Amino acid sequence: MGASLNDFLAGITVCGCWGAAVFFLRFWRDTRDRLFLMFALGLFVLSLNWVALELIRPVAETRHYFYVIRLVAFVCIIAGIWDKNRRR
Amino acid sequence: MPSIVYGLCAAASLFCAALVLSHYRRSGGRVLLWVALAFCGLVVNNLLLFYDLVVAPALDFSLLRSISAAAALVLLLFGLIWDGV
Amino acid sequence: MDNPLSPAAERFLTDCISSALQLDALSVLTSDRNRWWTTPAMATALRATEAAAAAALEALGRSNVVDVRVGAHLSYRYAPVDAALARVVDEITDAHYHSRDDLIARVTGLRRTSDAARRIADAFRIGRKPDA
Repeated sequence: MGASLNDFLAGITVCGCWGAAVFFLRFWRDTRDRLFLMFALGLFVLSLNWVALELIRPVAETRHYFYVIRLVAFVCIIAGIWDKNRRR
Repeated sequence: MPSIVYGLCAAASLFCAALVLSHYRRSGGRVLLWVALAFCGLVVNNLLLFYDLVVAPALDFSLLRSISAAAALVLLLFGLIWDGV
Repeated sequence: MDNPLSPAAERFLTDCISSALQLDALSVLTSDRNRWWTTPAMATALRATEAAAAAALEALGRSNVVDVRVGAHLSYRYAPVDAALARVVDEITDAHYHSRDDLIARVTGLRRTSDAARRIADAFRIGRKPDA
């Protein structure tokens, strides 16, 4: 039950990421503000973290490599914030 | 290496949460509240990840981590749908 | 609009202009570039309330197109921070003169569809917050 609940919640999380990414893509379409493009990319990459963990189920010793995907996602978001403030 | 990755993720989400919460307190706009709550959820998720995999690996916080991540993204999606257009 | 705006002008509109009143205030400021405008004087010129005029001027202040002088009232004078911004403002005020309705429709249309987007984008601006 615990494992399948985790899987279920991971599915919700991935879909939440994708749905939110589409919203940010729309914001980018409307405003042409690169911040939103980076947020959409970050959310999509974040979803890949959970997809990879669910599909591959790494052993504990290698699990942290998968969380580098999560770090890349946050780097995208921070890069978007930096880019927005740099342009001004 | 793992603790650095998890710590950086927590710091990044905390930074974003702080920015949005700060702006929400000054300027309002309910969509910002949802975005801030989502980032706070990701902070919780990242801190739980750090605690679960680095500090206390013998314990299992996987369900709590899953709940926090799902809650964060559901809040974000709900906020964008309800107040984002 | 007959002549589309340049990418820089589009970006300025998206990032810095959120109301028709701001466009009108910008037009008034550029009409007499040596004059210092107090909030009451701008409100009279715009035929708007002082609060609305103050908000428009403060927004323009955050966009690096005006100098601010503190006195009995805050005073504002058109002073773009660099030549590139001056060119952008010239392009927008020219569009305001020739295609006012189209420009305003674009600004208010942007606002209508992107109010949430603007709020989120503003939240991630560091160091240039609305109140200080």
